[in-house]
Amino acid sequence: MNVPPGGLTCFEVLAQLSDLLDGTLAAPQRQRVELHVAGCGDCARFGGAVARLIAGLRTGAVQGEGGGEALPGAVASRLDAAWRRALDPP
Amino acid sequence: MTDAADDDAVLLRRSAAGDADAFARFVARHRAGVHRFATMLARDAHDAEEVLQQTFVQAYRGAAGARVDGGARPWLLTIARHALARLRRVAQAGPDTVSLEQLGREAGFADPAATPERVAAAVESRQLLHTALKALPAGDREVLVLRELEQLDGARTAAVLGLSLEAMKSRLHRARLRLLAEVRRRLPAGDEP
Repeated sequence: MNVPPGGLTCFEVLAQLSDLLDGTLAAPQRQRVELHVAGCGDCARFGGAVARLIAGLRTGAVQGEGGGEALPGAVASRLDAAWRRALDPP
Repeated sequence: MTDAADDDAVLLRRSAAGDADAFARFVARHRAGVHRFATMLARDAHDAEEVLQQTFVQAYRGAAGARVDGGARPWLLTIARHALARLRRVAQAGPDTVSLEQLGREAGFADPAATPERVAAAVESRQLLHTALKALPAGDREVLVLRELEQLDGARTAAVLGLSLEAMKSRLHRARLRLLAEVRRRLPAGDEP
């Protein structure tokens, strides 16, 4: 009977993929998962795809409309008026 | 090094004592981040602006009791999240019953065509990624926005969501898989990874 790489099945690796990518797996388990990924084309490919997805999100590739670093002037003015009204209720 | 006068806790303490200039500085520092969070989670721009305003009005009222060691952003996003929940007026989603195996399949696990390079090329499109995120259930979108866009650490993300760290990690993992599936669905014909 063939032993899967790292002694883990692909499903077990899928379940731990985010922990691997986030660096939150304890060392012995991380080594087993890494060993599996090194010997499994499917898991290496899928892990790479998820990693690229996360990188795309984290590099600021997506923002909400008008949700960049600068707030539109009119939105900022209305915000300013709202909290100042709370400061000095009529 | 951060000037003590610029520290969130100091600004909030001064705000609570009636210093409007201190609160104006606090608002200026955090308004873009709160607006981005609200925009990604609200139904439309009007609701996002409503959440933005409610968040800072409540922050001002709660300034005296705010616990913001390490920065006020998680506290503000928690207020914003509650404001969003009130606006949505919908019941909380039930438990996520889709198996991890199925989520993985939909995301392209074990699909030889699902290469990292093709995913990387797809997510270079800000519009595609934005549309895919908007298509996710609110709970998935929320954890992704907090953890990946706002880049809160795991513990702070869990605290904002009112979850244990383990529950947050599980939700994050499933949300990533769902987002990858949505990205795949939006690729141009003939370019599905």
